[in-house]
Amino acid sequence: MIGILILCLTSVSAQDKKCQMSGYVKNMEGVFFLGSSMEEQLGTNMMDYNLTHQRLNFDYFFTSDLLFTVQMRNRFYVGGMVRDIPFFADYTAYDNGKVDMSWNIATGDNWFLNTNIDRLYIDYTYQSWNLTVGRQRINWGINFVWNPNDLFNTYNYLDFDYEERPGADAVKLTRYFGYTASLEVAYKMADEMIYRTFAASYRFNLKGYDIQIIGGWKGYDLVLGTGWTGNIKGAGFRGEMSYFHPMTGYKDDSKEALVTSLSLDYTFPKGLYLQTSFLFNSLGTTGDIDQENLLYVDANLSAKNLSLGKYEGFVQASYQLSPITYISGSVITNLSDGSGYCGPSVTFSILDNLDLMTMGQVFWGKSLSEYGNQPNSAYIRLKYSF
Amino acid sequence: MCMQRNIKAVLLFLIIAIGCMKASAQDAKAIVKKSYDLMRGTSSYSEATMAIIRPKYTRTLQFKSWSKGTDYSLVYVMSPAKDKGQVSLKRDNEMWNWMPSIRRMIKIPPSMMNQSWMGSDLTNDDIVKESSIVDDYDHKIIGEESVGGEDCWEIELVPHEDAAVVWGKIVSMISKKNGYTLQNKYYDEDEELVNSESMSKVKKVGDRTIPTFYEVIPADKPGQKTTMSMDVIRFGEKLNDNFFSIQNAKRVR
Repeated sequence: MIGILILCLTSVSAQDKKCQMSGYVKNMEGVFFLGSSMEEQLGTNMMDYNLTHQRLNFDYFFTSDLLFTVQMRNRFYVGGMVRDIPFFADYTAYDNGKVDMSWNIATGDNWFLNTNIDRLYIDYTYQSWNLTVGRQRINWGINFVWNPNDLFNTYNYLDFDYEERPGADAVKLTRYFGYTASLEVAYKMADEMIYRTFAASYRFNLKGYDIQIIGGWKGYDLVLGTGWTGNIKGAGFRGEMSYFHPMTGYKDDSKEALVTSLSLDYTFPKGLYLQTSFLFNSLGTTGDIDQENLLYVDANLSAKNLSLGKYEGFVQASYQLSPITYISGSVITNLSDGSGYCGPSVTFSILDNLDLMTMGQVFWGKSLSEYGNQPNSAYIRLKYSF
Repeated sequence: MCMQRNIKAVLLFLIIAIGCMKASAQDAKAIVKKSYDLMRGTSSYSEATMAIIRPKYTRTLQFKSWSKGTDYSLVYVMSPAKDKGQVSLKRDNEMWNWMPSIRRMIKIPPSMMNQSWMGSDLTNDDIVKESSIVDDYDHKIIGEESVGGEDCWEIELVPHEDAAVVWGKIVSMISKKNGYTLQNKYYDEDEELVNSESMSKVKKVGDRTIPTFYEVIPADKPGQKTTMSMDVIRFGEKLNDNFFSIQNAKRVR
């Protein structure tokens, strides 16, 4: 990291553009309103944390075709939540990559400081070829909420504060054909087989549709899938479908699954944006949700396991109220048990590089439902970008 | 006898008048096309600063753009910092946005062309110029007037019925001597004025002389305007079609 800084500083003084540096500093206050069962356990009905979050992105161009990138985030958490939830700090430090690059470098009674490198790669381009080696984000997802085609680095939609989303420790080779087509092969490394992925995707453009076909193996399964994006009467029409089949010898460890998500989005002439999305997850349930599983949602999240329910729906509306005010609201619901989530937010630009956001996360549902037992929360966040 | 002579005179007048009208319509289109070609060129590179001005605040955006003909364009956002590196690519009728932080190429459906570009007063369509001021409109010279000391043709542009255009009509002032546009007034379908656009700071840029500062003022919103200053413009850039590719949209900077 220091080496990069020195490289950057010397190149800045040399007045060239070999090095680029960017990032932000955010401060967010999060307040959680606990339900009665948690209140009994913890003796309080409210909890909070304050998060100071700094992100640094460095790009160093050895030549215009050879790039080195490192991106890190430093997060300082303080508050009752850190003190009262024992696994909070450990959970934050968890890194499921091949190389552990998340460290709690200092901890106290009700605070800790975490450093995490979530991008670290070399990117080399030769004519229509591109090779990327290291921790990188391999984005095969097309939809905005659920991505059955995202075989490498699934993200949690509710984790809104992680804007860059996780990366994968991988090697990726891409060959571009013409203006819009490409063939990509990638291998994600991990200690445990369940987290390894080796897959290829072929993308092309046909009659106004971007289409991809993917295949390979992920964990114990063979995967075959397709995704597309096009339009129906001006509305964006996006879809992803993946089929997982346990490999010979792993029938006891894994189950066959079909995961599909479809979405439609439309922007009205005055700027109102509406989006709706649907998820079918054959391994999800239409009945009661085992509440133990909720604890491991993030750890178990993968393209094969995007939800606990079998049928999920999503609706979002957003509107640019003025050049400095953006409002948005989204709803997710488990269509079988009726439980759900609602996330209203307002983003306000104070200055060109300073934004204020407020957001709520409201959950409802009965006791054995997917969303019913999650605590409601509210956030206010100030972000300075540079 | 007298009657016949009158008819002849009327016919002659009509023939001349129709001939004039036809010539004028052709001229009007040619004048608009000349202005369009002058401002845009067959291929170009530019760097621009846009300011969104409201009574209580101003927000600025800087971007680079490359274009080739009307079919290909690529726009790279330089600032504000939070949006730096975002790219819009247009090829023929298709458009994509590249979000570098999450490494995602998002295909923009036609309805999203109406969406505000980067929260500004311009839409995606304005940025990549989906509709053509030359091909999607009928043009007619309706007068002559002086704008900023230059004699101009006053030309009315009425969109074709099937054109995907939001305006009811546009009235342009185009310099007779220099061929560039100095003013556009945009009207809605009820002929109410919506926006006034004026161009100024005429400079010699490479092989041509053109205005480099644009100002758009909405008719019904006092104190509001959007300005765009062309900080760098280069015409006749040698741009391969391959420059406007998905691969390059991810790499350009």
